[in-house]
Amino acid sequence: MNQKQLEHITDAELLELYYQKNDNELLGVLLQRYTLLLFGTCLKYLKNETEARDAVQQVFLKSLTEIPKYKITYFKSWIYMVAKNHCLMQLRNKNITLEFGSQIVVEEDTNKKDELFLKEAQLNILEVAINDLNDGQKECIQMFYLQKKSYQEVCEHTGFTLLQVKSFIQNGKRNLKILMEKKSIKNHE
Amino acid sequence: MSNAKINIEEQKLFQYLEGNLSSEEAHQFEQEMADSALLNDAVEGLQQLKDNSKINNYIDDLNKQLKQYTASKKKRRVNYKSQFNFWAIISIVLILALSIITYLVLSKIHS
Repeated sequence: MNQKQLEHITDAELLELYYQKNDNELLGVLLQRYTLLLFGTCLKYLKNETEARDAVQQVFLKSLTEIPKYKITYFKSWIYMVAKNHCLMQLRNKNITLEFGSQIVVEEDTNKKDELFLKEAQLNILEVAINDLNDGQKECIQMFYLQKKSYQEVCEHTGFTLLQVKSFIQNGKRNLKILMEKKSIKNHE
Repeated sequence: MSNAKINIEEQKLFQYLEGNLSSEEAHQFEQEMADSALLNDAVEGLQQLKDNSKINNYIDDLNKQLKQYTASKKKRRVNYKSQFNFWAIISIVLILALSIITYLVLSKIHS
């Protein structure tokens, strides 16, 4: 398979091909898809361009040794965890701990469940469930998903910081999912 | 996710960082960020950079390095192969030479 053809196949197909052929160049093609995202992620945690660059190199090397050992299903989630763990380890070695609240935990979506959930959700239940969220989460979720405002616009309207807005959206999304699941179970009963 | 799609995502990411997306596109991109921890962290990290023009240099360097990592293994494998061939030939020649010498010595003793 030539370079052009490789460009149009999915991560999962590329990984499968690698497991069949055991050709490291295929892993190179796959990893190269994530260079920018990995660099940005490492930069977020390490806050230093040179250290971030070194960290990405380490993540590449680690991936090249680890991938052959396991059957990886969701590459995007896997590579994110490798990069994040590497950065956290670096920080731990330097005795730096991340301040609580300085990062938002975004749940990695492997099968776009949330996207479908928010796009195709039963709107009636959603409307009721949104009212059960706390004020901050309710306000941010409504503005971001229903009124389609950008993060910046939500910040301007609510007076919250960007970090708070992202956090309210993430937590609100998670709580909404739980609330909606509970409500749809009740409806079925 | 295909490379073509990644490239489009990368383009969008750069446009987002530079504030060149329409509000609708920016919102769509932010929804993707809200669904992907990797994309969210990457954007937050890249936003820390004061000079966006440096990003491409860093990425090019990293990709070149990656190519070396993935190509060197292949080369190394080739080197092992040629090294193995070299020693195999030497061993065969030595064994043959020793056998001939032994034969000659033994036949001389007998005669």
